[in-house]
Amino acid sequence: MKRAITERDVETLAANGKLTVTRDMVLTPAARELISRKGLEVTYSAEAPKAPPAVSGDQLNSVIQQVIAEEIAKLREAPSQASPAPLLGHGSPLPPGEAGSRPGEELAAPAPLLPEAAARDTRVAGVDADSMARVLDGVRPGASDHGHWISPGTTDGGPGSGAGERAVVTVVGQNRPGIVARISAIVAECGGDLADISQVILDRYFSMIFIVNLSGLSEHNISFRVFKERLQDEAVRLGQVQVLVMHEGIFSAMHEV
Amino acid sequence: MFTSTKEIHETIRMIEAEHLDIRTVTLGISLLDAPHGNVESLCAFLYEKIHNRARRLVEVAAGVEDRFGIPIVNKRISLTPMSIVCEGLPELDDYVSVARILDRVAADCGVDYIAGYSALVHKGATTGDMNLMNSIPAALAATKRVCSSINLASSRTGINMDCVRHMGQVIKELANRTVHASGCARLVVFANVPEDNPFIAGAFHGIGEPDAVINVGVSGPGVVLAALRRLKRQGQFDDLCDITETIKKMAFKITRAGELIGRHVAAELGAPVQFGIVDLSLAPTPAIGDSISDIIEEMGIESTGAPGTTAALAMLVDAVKKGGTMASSSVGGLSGAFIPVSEDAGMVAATLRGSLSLAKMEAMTAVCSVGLDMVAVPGDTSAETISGIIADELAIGMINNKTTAVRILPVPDTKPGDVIDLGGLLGQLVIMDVPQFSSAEFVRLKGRIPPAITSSRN
Repeated sequence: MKRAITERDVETLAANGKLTVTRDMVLTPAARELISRKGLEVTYSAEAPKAPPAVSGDQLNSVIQQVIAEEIAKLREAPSQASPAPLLGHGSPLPPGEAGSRPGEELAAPAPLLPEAAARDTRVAGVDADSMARVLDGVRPGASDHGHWISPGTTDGGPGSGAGERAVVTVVGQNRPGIVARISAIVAECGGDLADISQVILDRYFSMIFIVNLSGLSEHNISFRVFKERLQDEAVRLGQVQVLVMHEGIFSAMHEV
Repeated sequence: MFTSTKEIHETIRMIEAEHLDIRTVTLGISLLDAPHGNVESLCAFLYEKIHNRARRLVEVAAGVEDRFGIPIVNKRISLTPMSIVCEGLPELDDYVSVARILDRVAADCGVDYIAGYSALVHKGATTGDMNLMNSIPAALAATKRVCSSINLASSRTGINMDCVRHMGQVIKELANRTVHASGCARLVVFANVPEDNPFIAGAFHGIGEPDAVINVGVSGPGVVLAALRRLKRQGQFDDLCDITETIKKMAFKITRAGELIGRHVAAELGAPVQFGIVDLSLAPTPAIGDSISDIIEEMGIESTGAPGTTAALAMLVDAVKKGGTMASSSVGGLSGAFIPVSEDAGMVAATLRGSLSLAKMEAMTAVCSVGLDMVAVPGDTSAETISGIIADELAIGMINNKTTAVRILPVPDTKPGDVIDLGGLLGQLVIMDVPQFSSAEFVRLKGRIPPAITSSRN
């Protein structure tokens, strides 16, 4: 279970203008914004020693574009060797753990692909389009729509195939401190693994999306329904927020052509 | 796939704010293996088989609903036409006993409607078919959940006017036996009835269908309406092709949601239940904003029924079909848009304003998916006039190779303009004006209206 690092956590964790991010952390978008606003130097734990200090958005964008172009060129030469690792090594501002949260089947995405095609057909282009979208959206100040990975092909299958299923948990309501912490605590108690977070804040209101890997629920003997009920009970306790818990299948069914 | 935050928000908005739901998950059950001739053994067989197949339907559907976060409004059962199952029963009372058993098993399975008290008589009626039609007033009056449909015409065979005449009398009798003619909301007569329609009251499990099948009816007028309003706000509401594109995209998404739910319910019910079809009809509800009429008016018709209404409806229905067939290869049933007057708050309002008449409704049915649906007329309307209305509607279907239907309620002791509230999804009946000139002599002519020349296609 990854720990969600919020704005408040950044305040407490940062020391002398530096913040150390370990593999078990997920930065919320607001936290990322705070980091870039305060110009904090982000270092990564021993598991990712090559991560460089944070640089300005524009510089980083150009570096990333260059790296992605190199990676796509490599893909053309060796289709089955696709791997996200070099990209991260070159300077992703995301915690390493996040990049590792992609579903396994995406890693074996077929190539070769042109960059435009990669951006268009994310399902086939897997690795590169994913990295590009995540990285670019992640560093743009104020970027809110960084999107989420949803397993494809759910329309064809029967009921959930067990392992690798995920839920989309959406929390909407009036913004105030502590919501991420309380929701992610419930997710953890149920054995869910937080794969991704994004949020949009509009004035006093916010919408937060958690992508939760459900494979751990069975170890805690918790069904989807109980998981949903616990989150909704928490929403009642929090007050003025609504929690919606939906299997990811509905999103891929409705939006994938 | 990569789903953007915008798409996640859109999905949630469609469900939470725009009334997107799965209107019905209907389990079709074949009863071709039923024993014939003895009412006791038949009733025992019917209860056991239907209960066995359907007892988990509500529970399974609720689980799928919970999982995907999309409401499934109705869980229902459709059966092999009862005229086939009951063929050989000697007494009319036996038919009523069968209807009572169906009502009971529906209640025990937790479903609100069970359909298939039906007969297919588009060319001629057997003794069993006649018995079933004659038993309809007593059978529907004695039950709450049983729905009946009669196919009176087809493009291949023409219109069976003997049975059209007969059904006019049956509808009148049923209206007089139930409060506010409400029993007539469970009786529909068809031309070219589909065998896999999941929507009540016209559903039945066709004889070309497998043992057991899940058919899904989607909804979504509210979603289409909201999309058109957004288009207007963005200042892009000036080109008809842009409007149809928007409707097609929404129909695509709605249909995909329906297919996903249907496949999961079928799989969780397990063999021999198969997934059948998605019926991509836009089905309105009395809820504000969940209205076909509102969509037509959003397109620039001042009040539904005004000139231009049929064209706007035709465009809507065609766009829905195009979007839906792109989304799924399992499209079936009625598929289009329903215009049940009482169930659509916008249609009720248009009728009360005087812009929507029975004649305009008939024109609209030439381009929508079904027909004169949930139309209320004064109780003193004669059986011959009702048969005449039915014959007109079925002629549109017969000639144009499409499904048409009539679900008409002659409400006793009412006059045009009266409003009767049936409650729930059935909504508000507004009594419509019926032309006072008679068609009795034409209706009394015997036999069949022969099929159109277009039926000779081999």
